[in-house]
Amino acid sequence: MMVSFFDQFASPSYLGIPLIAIAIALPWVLYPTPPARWINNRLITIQGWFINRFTNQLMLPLKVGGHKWALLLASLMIFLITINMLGLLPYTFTPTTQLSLNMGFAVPLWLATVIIGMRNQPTVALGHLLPEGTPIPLIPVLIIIETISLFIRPLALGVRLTANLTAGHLLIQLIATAVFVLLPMMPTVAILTAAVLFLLTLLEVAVAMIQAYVFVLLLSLYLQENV
Amino acid sequence: MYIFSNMTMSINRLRTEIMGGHDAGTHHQFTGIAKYFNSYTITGRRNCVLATYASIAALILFFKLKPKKQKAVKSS
Repeated sequence: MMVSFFDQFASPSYLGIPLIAIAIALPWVLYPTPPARWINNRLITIQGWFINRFTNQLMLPLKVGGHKWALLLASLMIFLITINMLGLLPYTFTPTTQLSLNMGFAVPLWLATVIIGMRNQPTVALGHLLPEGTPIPLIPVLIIIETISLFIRPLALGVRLTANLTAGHLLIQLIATAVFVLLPMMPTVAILTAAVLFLLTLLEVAVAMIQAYVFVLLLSLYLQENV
Repeated sequence: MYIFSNMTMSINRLRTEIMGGHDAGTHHQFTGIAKYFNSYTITGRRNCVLATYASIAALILFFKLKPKKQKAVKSS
Protein backbone atom coordinates (compact mmCIF):
# COMPACT_ATOMS: atom_id res chain seq x y z
CA MET A 1 0.00 0.00 0.00
CA MET A 2 1.46 3.32 -1.12
CA VAL A 3 1.30 5.92 1.65
CA SER A 4 1.04 9.45 0.31
CA PHE A 5 1.11 12.86 1.95
CA PHE A 6 -2.59 13.30 1.23
CA ASP A 7 -3.71 10.32 3.33
CA GLN A 8 -4.12 12.63 6.33
CA PHE A 9 -6.95 14.41 4.48
CA ALA A 10 -8.96 11.24 3.72
CA SER A 11 -12.21 11.22 5.68
CA PRO A 12 -11.69 8.51 8.34
CA SER A 13 -14.02 5.57 8.59
CA TYR A 14 -13.93 2.36 10.60
CA LEU A 15 -15.83 -0.73 9.44
CA GLY A 16 -17.88 1.53 7.18
CA ILE A 17 -18.80 3.95 9.99
CA PRO A 18 -17.75 7.53 9.19
CA LEU A 19 -15.67 8.82 12.09
CA ILE A 20 -15.96 12.45 10.97
CA ALA A 21 -19.12 12.61 13.08
CA ILE A 22 -16.99 12.05 16.21
CA ALA A 23 -14.46 14.65 15.00
CA ILE A 24 -17.25 17.21 14.51
CA ALA A 25 -18.87 16.44 17.87
CA LEU A 26 -15.57 16.72 19.78
CA PRO A 27 -15.61 20.55 20.32
CA TRP A 28 -19.01 20.26 22.01
CA VAL A 29 -17.59 17.78 24.52
CA LEU A 30 -14.61 20.00 25.34
CA TYR A 31 -16.58 23.05 26.50
CA PRO A 32 -18.39 22.47 29.83
CA THR A 33 -21.88 23.89 30.24
CA PRO A 34 -21.84 26.65 32.87
CA PRO A 35 -23.80 25.50 35.95
CA ALA A 36 -26.40 27.77 37.56
CA ARG A 37 -24.03 29.41 40.04
CA TRP A 38 -23.33 33.04 40.77
CA ILE A 39 -19.58 32.54 40.60
CA ASN A 40 -18.13 29.66 38.61
CA ASN A 41 -14.70 28.11 38.57
CA ARG A 42 -11.83 29.71 36.68
CA LEU A 43 -12.18 27.64 33.50
CA ILE A 44 -15.83 28.44 33.03
CA THR A 45 -15.26 32.11 33.93
CA ILE A 46 -12.51 32.42 31.28
CA GLN A 47 -14.67 30.57 28.75
CA GLY A 48 -17.61 32.89 29.42
CA TRP A 49 -15.43 36.00 29.36
CA PHE A 50 -13.90 35.04 26.01
CA ILE A 51 -17.25 34.21 24.38
CA ASN A 52 -18.90 37.39 25.72
CA ARG A 53 -16.02 39.62 24.63
CA PHE A 54 -15.82 38.06 21.18
CA THR A 55 -19.59 38.30 20.63
CA ASN A 56 -19.61 41.91 21.82
CA GLN A 57 -16.81 42.86 19.41
CA LEU A 58 -18.48 41.06 16.52
CA MET A 59 -21.89 42.66 17.10
CA LEU A 60 -20.54 46.24 17.50
CA PRO A 61 -20.80 47.26 13.82
CA LEU A 62 -24.11 45.47 13.32
CA LYS A 63 -27.51 47.09 13.71
CA VAL A 64 -30.05 45.62 16.16
CA GLY A 65 -31.58 43.43 13.43
CA GLY A 66 -28.25 41.63 13.00
CA HIS A 67 -27.93 40.81 16.71
CA LYS A 68 -30.12 37.74 16.16
CA TRP A 69 -27.04 36.20 14.56
CA ALA A 70 -24.97 36.53 17.74
CA LEU A 71 -25.50 32.92 18.88
CA LEU A 72 -24.91 31.47 15.42
CA LEU A 73 -21.73 33.42 14.71
CA ALA A 74 -20.25 32.96 18.20
CA SER A 75 -20.87 29.21 18.18
CA LEU A 76 -19.50 28.94 14.64
CA MET A 77 -16.34 30.74 15.72
CA ILE A 78 -15.83 28.48 18.78
CA PHE A 79 -16.50 25.40 16.64
CA LEU A 80 -14.05 26.36 13.88
CA ILE A 81 -11.29 27.52 16.21
CA THR A 82 -11.52 24.33 18.28
CA ILE A 83 -11.53 22.04 15.27
CA ASN A 84 -8.59 23.89 13.70
CA MET A 85 -6.56 23.75 16.92
CA LEU A 86 -7.33 20.07 17.56
CA GLY A 87 -6.21 19.30 14.02
CA LEU A 88 -2.71 20.49 14.89
CA LEU A 89 -2.27 17.59 17.32
CA PRO A 90 -0.35 14.66 15.82
CA TYR A 91 -2.33 11.96 14.06
CA THR A 92 -5.65 13.84 14.28
CA PHE A 93 -8.04 14.46 11.44
CA THR A 94 -9.07 18.05 10.70
CA PRO A 95 -12.65 18.26 9.41
CA THR A 96 -12.09 21.80 8.11
CA THR A 97 -9.68 20.46 5.49
CA GLN A 98 -12.77 19.04 3.77
CA LEU A 99 -14.15 21.48 1.20
CA SER A 100 -17.58 19.90 1.59
CA LEU A 101 -17.78 20.89 5.27
CA ASN A 102 -16.58 24.45 4.67
CA MET A 103 -18.91 24.96 1.72
CA GLY A 104 -21.68 23.49 3.87
CA PHE A 105 -21.12 26.38 6.26
CA ALA A 106 -20.33 29.11 3.74
CA VAL A 107 -23.10 28.70 1.13
CA PRO A 108 -26.19 28.55 3.41
CA LEU A 109 -24.98 31.37 5.66
CA TRP A 110 -24.02 33.63 2.75
CA LEU A 111 -27.33 32.85 1.00
CA ALA A 112 -29.17 33.69 4.22
CA THR A 113 -27.54 37.15 4.31
CA VAL A 114 -28.47 37.77 0.66
CA ILE A 115 -32.08 36.65 1.16
CA ILE A 116 -32.40 38.79 4.30
CA GLY A 117 -31.14 41.80 2.37
CA MET A 118 -33.43 41.23 -0.61
CA ARG A 119 -36.44 40.64 1.63
CA ASN A 120 -36.05 43.47 4.15
CA GLN A 121 -34.41 46.22 2.09
CA PRO A 122 -34.39 45.23 -1.61
CA THR A 123 -33.54 48.75 -2.86
CA VAL A 124 -30.43 49.04 -0.70
CA ALA A 125 -29.41 45.42 -1.42
CA LEU A 126 -29.68 45.94 -5.18
CA GLY A 127 -28.16 49.43 -4.98
CA HIS A 128 -25.01 47.96 -3.42
CA LEU A 129 -24.30 46.22 -6.72
CA LEU A 130 -23.30 49.56 -8.23
CA PRO A 131 -20.64 51.61 -6.46
CA GLU A 132 -21.60 55.23 -5.82
CA GLY A 133 -20.24 57.75 -8.31
CA THR A 134 -19.51 55.30 -11.11
CA PRO A 135 -19.05 57.03 -14.50
CA ILE A 136 -21.94 56.33 -16.86
CA PRO A 137 -20.00 54.28 -19.49
CA LEU A 138 -18.73 51.93 -16.77
CA ILE A 139 -22.13 51.24 -15.15
CA PRO A 140 -23.09 47.98 -16.97
CA VAL A 141 -19.58 46.53 -16.70
CA LEU A 142 -19.32 47.32 -13.01
CA ILE A 143 -22.75 45.84 -12.28
CA ILE A 144 -21.70 42.59 -13.95
CA ILE A 145 -18.39 42.60 -12.04
CA GLU A 146 -20.12 43.27 -8.70
CA THR A 147 -22.65 40.48 -9.38
CA ILE A 148 -19.85 38.05 -10.13
CA SER A 149 -18.02 39.10 -6.95
CA LEU A 150 -21.24 38.59 -4.98
CA PHE A 151 -21.57 35.01 -6.21
CA ILE A 152 -17.87 34.30 -5.73
CA ARG A 153 -18.16 35.12 -1.99
CA PRO A 154 -19.30 31.71 -0.68
CA LEU A 155 -16.74 29.95 -2.87
CA ALA A 156 -13.99 32.21 -1.55
CA LEU A 157 -15.13 31.68 2.05
CA GLY A 158 -15.07 27.90 1.79
CA VAL A 159 -11.93 27.57 -0.30
CA ARG A 160 -9.98 30.06 1.85
CA LEU A 161 -10.46 27.97 4.98
CA THR A 162 -9.86 24.66 3.19
CA ALA A 163 -6.76 25.82 1.34
CA ASN A 164 -5.12 27.48 4.35
CA LEU A 165 -5.55 24.48 6.60
CA THR A 166 -4.69 21.90 3.94
CA ALA A 167 -1.56 23.78 2.89
CA GLY A 168 -0.47 24.19 6.50
CA HIS A 169 -0.91 20.54 7.39
CA LEU A 170 0.84 19.46 4.21
CA LEU A 171 3.80 21.74 4.92
CA ILE A 172 4.10 20.42 8.47
CA GLN A 173 4.09 16.83 7.21
CA LEU A 174 6.62 17.59 4.44
CA ILE A 175 9.07 19.37 6.73
CA ALA A 176 8.67 16.76 9.47
CA THR A 177 9.43 14.05 6.90
CA ALA A 178 12.47 16.03 5.77
CA VAL A 179 13.75 16.24 9.37
CA PHE A 180 13.22 12.52 9.86
CA VAL A 181 14.98 11.60 6.62
CA LEU A 182 17.89 14.03 7.12
CA LEU A 183 18.61 13.08 10.74
CA PRO A 184 20.93 10.07 10.06
CA MET A 185 22.55 11.72 7.02
CA MET A 186 23.04 15.39 7.91
CA PRO A 187 22.20 16.01 11.58
CA THR A 188 23.02 19.74 11.47
CA VAL A 189 20.70 20.36 8.54
CA ALA A 190 18.08 18.25 10.29
CA ILE A 191 18.32 20.43 13.42
CA LEU A 192 17.93 23.58 11.32
CA THR A 193 14.95 22.03 9.56
CA ALA A 194 13.51 21.13 12.96
CA ALA A 195 13.82 24.78 13.98
CA VAL A 196 11.92 25.75 10.81
CA LEU A 197 9.32 23.10 11.71
CA PHE A 198 8.91 24.60 15.17
CA LEU A 199 8.38 28.10 13.72
CA LEU A 200 5.97 26.70 11.14
CA THR A 201 3.96 25.01 13.87
CA LEU A 202 3.67 28.33 15.70
CA LEU A 203 2.53 29.93 12.44
CA GLU A 204 -0.04 27.19 11.94
CA VAL A 205 -1.45 27.79 15.42
CA ALA A 206 -1.91 31.46 14.48
CA VAL A 207 -3.36 30.56 11.08
CA ALA A 208 -5.82 28.13 12.70
CA MET A 209 -7.20 30.89 14.93
CA ILE A 210 -7.06 33.66 12.33
CA GLN A 211 -8.80 31.66 9.60
CA ALA A 212 -11.68 30.78 11.91
CA TYR A 213 -11.97 34.45 12.88
CA VAL A 214 -11.78 35.65 9.25
CA PHE A 215 -14.55 33.23 8.22
CA VAL A 216 -16.90 34.55 10.89
CA LEU A 217 -15.85 38.18 10.41
CA LEU A 218 -16.55 38.10 6.67
CA LEU A 219 -19.97 36.57 7.31
CA SER A 220 -20.72 39.38 9.77
CA LEU A 221 -19.60 41.93 7.14
CA TYR A 222 -21.92 40.39 4.56
CA LEU A 223 -24.69 40.54 7.15
CA GLN A 224 -23.84 44.18 7.92
CA GLU A 225 -24.47 45.10 4.27
CA ASN A 226 -27.88 43.46 4.29
CA VAL A 227 -29.32 44.35 7.69
CA MET B 1 -13.67 98.84 -5.92
CA TYR B 2 -14.97 96.81 -8.88
CA ILE B 3 -11.76 94.71 -8.91
CA PHE B 4 -12.02 94.20 -5.13
CA SER B 5 -15.68 92.92 -5.38
CA ASN B 6 -14.65 90.54 -8.22
CA MET B 7 -11.79 89.18 -6.08
CA THR B 8 -14.20 88.61 -3.14
CA MET B 9 -16.63 86.72 -5.37
CA SER B 10 -13.90 84.46 -6.78
CA ILE B 11 -12.46 83.79 -3.29
CA ASN B 12 -15.95 82.83 -2.05
CA ARG B 13 -16.42 80.45 -5.01
CA LEU B 14 -13.01 78.87 -4.31
CA ARG B 15 -13.91 78.42 -0.62
CA THR B 16 -17.13 76.64 -1.62
CA GLU B 17 -15.22 74.35 -3.96
CA ILE B 18 -12.57 73.51 -1.34
CA MET B 19 -15.16 72.89 1.36
CA GLY B 20 -17.40 70.94 -1.07
CA GLY B 21 -15.35 67.75 -0.74
CA HIS B 22 -16.91 64.30 -1.31
CA ASP B 23 -20.41 64.34 -2.70
CA ALA B 24 -22.73 62.63 -0.22
CA GLY B 25 -25.33 62.12 -2.93
CA THR B 26 -28.01 63.96 -1.01
CA HIS B 27 -27.80 67.33 -2.75
CA HIS B 28 -28.18 66.20 -6.34
CA GLN B 29 -31.07 67.49 -8.37
CA PHE B 30 -31.36 65.34 -11.43
CA THR B 31 -33.71 66.04 -14.29
CA GLY B 32 -35.05 63.85 -17.05
CA ILE B 33 -33.89 60.25 -17.29
CA ALA B 34 -31.01 60.95 -14.89
CA LYS B 35 -33.62 61.34 -12.15
CA TYR B 36 -34.33 57.62 -12.37
CA PHE B 37 -31.02 56.24 -13.65
CA ASN B 38 -27.89 57.62 -11.96
CA SER B 39 -25.07 56.26 -9.87
CA TYR B 40 -25.50 58.65 -6.91
CA THR B 41 -28.88 58.02 -5.30
CA ILE B 42 -29.78 54.58 -3.97
CA THR B 43 -32.90 54.34 -6.14
CA GLY B 44 -30.90 55.44 -9.19
CA ARG B 45 -28.36 52.72 -8.54
CA ARG B 46 -31.10 50.16 -8.01
CA ASN B 47 -32.76 51.12 -11.30
CA CYS B 48 -29.44 50.87 -13.16
CA VAL B 49 -28.92 47.37 -11.75
CA LEU B 50 -32.44 46.27 -12.68
CA ALA B 51 -32.08 47.76 -16.17
CA THR B 52 -28.79 45.93 -16.72
CA TYR B 53 -30.29 42.62 -15.55
CA ALA B 54 -33.36 43.17 -17.78
CA SER B 55 -31.14 43.92 -20.79
CA ILE B 56 -29.09 40.76 -20.24
CA ALA B 57 -32.27 38.69 -19.83
CA ALA B 58 -33.72 40.23 -22.99
CA LEU B 59 -30.52 39.42 -24.92
CA ILE B 60 -30.56 35.80 -23.75
CA LEU B 61 -34.25 35.45 -24.59
CA PHE B 62 -33.71 37.01 -28.01
CA PHE B 63 -30.99 34.54 -28.96
CA LYS B 64 -32.89 31.59 -27.51
CA LEU B 65 -36.15 32.35 -29.33
CA LYS B 66 -34.51 33.42 -32.59
CA PRO B 67 -35.67 31.03 -35.36
CA LYS B 68 -32.76 28.96 -36.67
CA LYS B 69 -32.18 29.07 -40.46
CA GLN B 70 -32.75 25.66 -42.04
CA LYS B 71 -30.15 24.70 -44.64
CA ALA B 72 -31.61 24.14 -48.09
CA VAL B 73 -31.32 20.48 -49.16
CA LYS B 74 -29.52 20.18 -52.59
CA SER B 75 -30.98 17.61 -54.95
CA SER B 76 -28.27 15.47 -56.64
